[in-house]
Amino acid sequence: MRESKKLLLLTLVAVLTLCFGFTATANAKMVKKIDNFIFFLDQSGSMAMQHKDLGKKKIDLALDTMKAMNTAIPELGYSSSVFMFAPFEAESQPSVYNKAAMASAVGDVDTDFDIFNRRTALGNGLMDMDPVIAGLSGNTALIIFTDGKSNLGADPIAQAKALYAKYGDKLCIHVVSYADTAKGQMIIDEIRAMSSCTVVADATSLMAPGAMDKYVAEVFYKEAVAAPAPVVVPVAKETITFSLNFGFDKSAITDEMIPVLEQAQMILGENANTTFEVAGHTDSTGPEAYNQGLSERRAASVKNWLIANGVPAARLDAKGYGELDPKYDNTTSEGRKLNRRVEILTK
Amino acid sequence: MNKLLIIITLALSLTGAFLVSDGLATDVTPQSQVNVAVAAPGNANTPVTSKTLPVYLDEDLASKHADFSKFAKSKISSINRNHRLSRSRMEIVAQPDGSYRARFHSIDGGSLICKVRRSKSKTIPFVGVLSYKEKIFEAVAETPEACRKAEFIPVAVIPNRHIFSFKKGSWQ
Repeated sequence: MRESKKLLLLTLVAVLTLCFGFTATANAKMVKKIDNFIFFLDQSGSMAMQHKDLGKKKIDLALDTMKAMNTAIPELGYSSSVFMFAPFEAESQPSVYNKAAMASAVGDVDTDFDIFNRRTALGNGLMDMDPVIAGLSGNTALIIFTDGKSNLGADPIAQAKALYAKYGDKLCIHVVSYADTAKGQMIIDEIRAMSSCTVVADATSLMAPGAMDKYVAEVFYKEAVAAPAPVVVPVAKETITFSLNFGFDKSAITDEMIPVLEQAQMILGENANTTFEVAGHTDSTGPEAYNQGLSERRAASVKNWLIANGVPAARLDAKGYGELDPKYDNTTSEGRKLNRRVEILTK
Repeated sequence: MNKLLIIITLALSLTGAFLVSDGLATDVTPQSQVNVAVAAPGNANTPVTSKTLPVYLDEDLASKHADFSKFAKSKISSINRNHRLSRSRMEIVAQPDGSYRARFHSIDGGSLICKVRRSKSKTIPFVGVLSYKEKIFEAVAETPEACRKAEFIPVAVIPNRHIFSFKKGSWQ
């Protein structure tokens, strides 16, 4: 009798050990990318209106997304919270992420509110969010669920920029878009364009099979095949591309090229310590030696214009590749057109 | 029996299931006093014109943004279709061990971000910047044919920004 009791207890211990062991193994495959995340929901009047294309109230669509996202997020010890703006409210203060608690907070959001006199203050919402972010340690993902409309208060684009200026790489703003107006989409894209960390998603894109898991993987965690080395898809250096539509055999900069070059100059100004290669490319039409010379002259023209307009010469090299490094298919006119390009490559 | 209880307690402790990490144990509460990040205020003495209007209030720019977003989608299709190493033109290289490695480039259609700005030029009134992520996929198999059918995994991401100009009513 005593022996069988002993056997029973030992079996119980073994089963428990295996159960916890498996849980640990499953979690060991995911390494968290961020320390904190905040669901930031737009509860302005426009969100209580039907989405023009999807025929459902935008706030209901957003809550569906938040619920699905909550299901897909692994419990890796994040700090999580749910806040709302227009007007600003805390639905759930920052605390250790727990699916059930998050589901309850999202489920408690009241969607039965008046449309009128409830204007969208996205910029003010971002200002109100600042003390919350300041109270968190580590890296934070601010996930905004909004239609992008902003018709009251501070400039949302300037406020998002101010947050990035304050927190730098410690903050990444992701916007899940429910925009059904051109202006709303523009404001969302402006915020997204501020950092390469952002992961793009909208109401429809996240409905595709596997899309939510992919989104969550990109925002929340990295996969690790065998601890401790995580498998990370390396991010290569950035490429800035433009076509200046030089005339036949021409390499001089004309007035019409200046707006594009000014934009390139602004991009180069984002990081004063980076150096670049200005690369000229042609299509395969014409003799190889001629194309080589032409691409060198064009790359040099762009480099000289950038230097003349304030980019330090030490940050720039110019190189012509002629027709020898086509990125596109030279057998089609569309491909040849794409091959006639100037690239600025981050070194 | 006491020995058994000690064994059970010891075994459960060894699973680590009841250990809480620092991150989990931290009680995260927002600070009470913070200097809020505020954007620089506008100059009240400067008259607001279409050129000084903040982007978020600029209806005309929003309309151009919508127009550029449509153009951007067709441009990405063109880039994917014409890329020298598109999926249909994937590069397959024999490896020293006798296997084959296939590689192709593809732009993640879900990664597009469009930005439009006014310019001072009369002939080029707008400039558009299209940001996207170009992914490189690879697969390894015993034969080139098996490579084509194999599961491809992303091995690198190239961030791209493509600048376009708006001239005579169209993007180029």
